[in-house]
Amino acid sequence: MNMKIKISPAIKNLNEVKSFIEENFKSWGTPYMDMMDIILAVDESITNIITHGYDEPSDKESIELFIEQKGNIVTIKITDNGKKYDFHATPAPDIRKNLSGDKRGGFGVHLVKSVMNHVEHTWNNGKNTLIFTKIITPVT
Amino acid sequence: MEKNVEIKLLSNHTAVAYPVGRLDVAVSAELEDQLVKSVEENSIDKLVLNMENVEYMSSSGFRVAIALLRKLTDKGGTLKICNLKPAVKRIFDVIELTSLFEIFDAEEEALASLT
Repeated sequence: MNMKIKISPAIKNLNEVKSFIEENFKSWGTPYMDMMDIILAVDESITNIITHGYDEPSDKESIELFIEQKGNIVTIKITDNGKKYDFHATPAPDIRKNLSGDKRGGFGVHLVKSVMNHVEHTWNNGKNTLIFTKIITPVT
Repeated sequence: MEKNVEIKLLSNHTAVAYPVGRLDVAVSAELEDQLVKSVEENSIDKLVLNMENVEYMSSSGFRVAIALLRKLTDKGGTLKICNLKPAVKRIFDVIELTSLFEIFDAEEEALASLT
């Protein structure tokens, strides 16, 4: 089972992505909490890509999301042609600075790493590719 | 501006806020503005954030909670959170910051803890 959607880099498109994922996973019978983890990881990743990877919104559908479920393993692949980033170099969120107001956020990447079983990022031919793997709860 | 939260004012500078829907990057900035404005305009010192109508929250929503905590703490107030749905509670657990917030199962418990 798989699903694919392409969007242009604009925050307004995120709801469409989340609804699309939810509809598919519900029809596949994927457990609710696993589905919510995957929606969260996709949401955080695409939000970062749009916010940091592109200088301005565009109508070109340059962000592609592909999700495949084989047995109890879900693989999520996100490609974009925005600015190169280093997913693994992102520092852990600094709570003290968030509380003092010196820094805002920094939780997104940490969340993705925490709710997925495996995350890898590559940069090739002007494209970022982010691949997550999630082992879902077996349906009995 | 679309209203993302209902706020019930109680006595003694206390209020309960009920955010609605999905707290993600699309709504979090507006929600934060609405809540901070209400805290200032109504001189709220003690706030309960009742999350019973929030099905989903990303890190953007979490940042709203931190901003509110900072705002209230700076003026000597308190923030309590209650009625977290499982998918939202998971965010607090995953970030390992459950200890940063006082979280209650029910609004009555959160309000009782303020007295």
